[in-house]
Amino acid sequence: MHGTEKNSKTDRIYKMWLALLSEGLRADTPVILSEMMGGARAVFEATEKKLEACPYLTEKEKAEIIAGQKRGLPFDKTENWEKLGIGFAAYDDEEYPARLRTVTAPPYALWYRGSLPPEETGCVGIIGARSCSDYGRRSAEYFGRELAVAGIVVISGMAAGVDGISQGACLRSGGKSYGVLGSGPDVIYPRSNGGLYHELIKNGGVLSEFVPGTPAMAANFPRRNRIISALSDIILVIEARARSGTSITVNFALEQGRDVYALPGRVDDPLSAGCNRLIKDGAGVACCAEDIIEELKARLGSGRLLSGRKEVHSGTKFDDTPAPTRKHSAYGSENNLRQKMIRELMQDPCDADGLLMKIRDSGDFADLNIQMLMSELTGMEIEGALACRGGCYFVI
Amino acid sequence: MVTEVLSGGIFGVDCRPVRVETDVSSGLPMFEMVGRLSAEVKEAAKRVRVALKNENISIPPKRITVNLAPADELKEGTGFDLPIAIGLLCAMEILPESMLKGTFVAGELALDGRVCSVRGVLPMMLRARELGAERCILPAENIREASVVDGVSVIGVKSIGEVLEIFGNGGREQAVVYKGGEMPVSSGFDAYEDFADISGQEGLKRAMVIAAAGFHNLIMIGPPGAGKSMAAKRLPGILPPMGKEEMLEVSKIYSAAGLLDDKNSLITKRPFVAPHHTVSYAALAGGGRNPVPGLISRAHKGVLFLDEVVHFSSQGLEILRQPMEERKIRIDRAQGSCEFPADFMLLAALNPCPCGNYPDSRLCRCTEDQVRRYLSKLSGPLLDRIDICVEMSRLKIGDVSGGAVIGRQYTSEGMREGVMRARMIQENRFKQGGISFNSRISPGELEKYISLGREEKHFMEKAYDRLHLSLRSYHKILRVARTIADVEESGEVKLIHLQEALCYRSIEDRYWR
Repeated sequence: MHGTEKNSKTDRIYKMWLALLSEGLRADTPVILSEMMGGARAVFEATEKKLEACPYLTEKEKAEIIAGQKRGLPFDKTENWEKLGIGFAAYDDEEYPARLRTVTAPPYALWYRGSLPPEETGCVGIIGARSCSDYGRRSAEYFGRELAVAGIVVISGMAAGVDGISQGACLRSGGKSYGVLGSGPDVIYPRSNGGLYHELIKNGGVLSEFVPGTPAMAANFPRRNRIISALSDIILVIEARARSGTSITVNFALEQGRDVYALPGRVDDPLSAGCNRLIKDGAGVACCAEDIIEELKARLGSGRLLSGRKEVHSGTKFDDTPAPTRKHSAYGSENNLRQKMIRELMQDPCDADGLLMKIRDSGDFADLNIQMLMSELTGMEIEGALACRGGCYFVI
Repeated sequence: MVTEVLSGGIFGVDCRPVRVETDVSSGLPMFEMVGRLSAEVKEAAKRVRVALKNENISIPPKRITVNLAPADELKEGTGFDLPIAIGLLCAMEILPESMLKGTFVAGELALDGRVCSVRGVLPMMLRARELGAERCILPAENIREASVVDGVSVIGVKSIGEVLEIFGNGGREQAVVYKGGEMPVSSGFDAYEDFADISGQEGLKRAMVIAAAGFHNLIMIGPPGAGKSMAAKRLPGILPPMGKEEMLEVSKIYSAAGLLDDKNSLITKRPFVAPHHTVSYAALAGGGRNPVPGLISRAHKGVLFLDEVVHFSSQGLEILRQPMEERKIRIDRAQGSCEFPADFMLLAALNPCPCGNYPDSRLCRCTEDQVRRYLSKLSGPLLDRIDICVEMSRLKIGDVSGGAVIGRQYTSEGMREGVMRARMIQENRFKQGGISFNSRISPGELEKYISLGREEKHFMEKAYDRLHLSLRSYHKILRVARTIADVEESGEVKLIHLQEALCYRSIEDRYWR
């Protein structure tokens, strides 16, 4: 009769029909329905009587399904999405991520551009504050880079701040990264990460449980967090306030049996309060990328997970030799002022006035004035030792 | 018999000469005025008739025709009353016609014969001098303002009666004659508050010195309470004093706007104009049917301070663009166009984000996007025209109590010295240049005034690539570096000056990557 190829293709349109319907249903209903009835096609062809007999459907859901049946199959929509290169994987498809299938209340289907995360490679989810500090920015970059070098996939939410920074760093170091969106897979949010979005599609992918075209809505973001944690073997929290969206992801991760690591921070820094709290509650301490890589190795056994590389890189340590000192050993002793400035700024980034006071307070460089300090700052900025943000200088 | 009196009307900040011709001849008794007159000028006939009657002079029952020439220009203002009256008195041979030779007349009449003040006396005097007049008859109230111009003597009169007394048959013809050219002395800098009152913020104070020395536009970004408004208020105290020509130029604007009085006959200090952010764009730019100068013109040769600049209407801010480029604003109305000078230094202050505390993560919870949106209310073209940008942070309490000493070494007096040094150097540099400040060097002339050594050139090339500068900001940095070198009394622009100038580069290079 029909070839399997054609069979699966016709099945696909029924699955998409059910996926589109899921907006009006409770989160876990589509999965249960298709399992109980034996596929999306069966749901589409189910008679009113048969639906009545389903004890787990509410009246509203029944009406929704019947209305959906009357509307028919969404041929015109899906054709358009296919043209845009949007992929589709339903719960019972082979390409549906295995990590996701095993958690509670998995999404019925994923829409994606690029590809879906590979099953055999270790995945680390890096999450954190949208408005992060320079420390968070630096750390996100470091972990993204080092994990990429080790051949580990970075999963995150493509949000502003830690998410986007770590994913960008991962891609730049030749790694693969996947963004889980809180909007449709064709909607770029935030707009400032447009460049990252296209890079992700090239070297990884963006995926979402939301139908293409869904705008970014606040209510959707907590939901997508459960996918971030589910797709990751380990969740690494870079910076989080005491109460933040990050804690939602962490709760999902614990529920799903994923390991949680947190980057320690200063105790008086509100942006690190969430992380320090996690560590206190027993999360792993992420002092360098090796901590994460070792854990991942132990968890999944041997180098199998770090595929795509012949040799496993363990990454450089984060805290042993701070990058600036390395870069500026060239200043040597003949430029004491610059060394002093680096030391002070490493401790606490501040603006030119603040730095001047600190250096003066220490008693050295008595004749230092603001203009001398400012020209040194610019000189070092151009040499790439410092960066400036909102008037505030920090070591990079 | 026809008499001719020289007078003038104000248009914009300039005075256009008007000849008041009066003819008395036989015919039906009437008082006719011609010459494209606005309502208030036509009414002059009635004021003159009654004022003369009250001075016991009756107008003969003859045909009186007054023509204000040139006849094709609209005459406005009340300054024509006195010239009409004097012209008529001469035509009636009550006053000798000889008195009109080389005499410029302006003034308004009250019904009892008093002569009232008029606006725009300063531009009138300047025009009178240009036309070769030897003396001016003006309202007594305007004498101080008028006496600023030298080369023309001023006769101040209080009433028509006094005119008759001075010039009438057997009159004394002397009265209050001012020789002119009297310069009121500048009242010094004591009036301004001292920069020493601001503790810390050395970066800002340094930037203020440079801005004042080179007349660079300056923008201050900082949290509430960092001292932005305090510093702005103290800026006039370190600006270089105005030269005589500049004083006249500025006073002319104030005169045309009717803002000069007996006490302030001449603007001797650089103006400091600080409009509230609810200001209408017409008030900023100037306008009206007979255009009057707006706030940006009143800030001519001085400072226009816009506090909380992002709250100004974008329409108002965009108006600043053209004047900042051309140093003047053109007002076009159906009546005609006029140009007001607007060569001001823009000083702007704003918070870094909606809550004001960015980048302090302890206090600020604004998202990066919010910060960007907040700052982007300042358009790129406007930012392009701002040379120096200073970011400030709030002082820690320890800095205020213990470290206050640090800020004290920057006093207004010390800062003024730096400004004056740079001013002198610039004066020599631009002797033939037609400009007076480094910030006004055109891109084409940068090479001529600013030559860089090899090391410096190399550094700037590196900076250009590294910091993704635009060509425009590259030029700005060169101009600012030139001023820094002048403040430091260095003939050449050295590496250290360029580096410091880069520190002040615009926020667009820092926030909007």
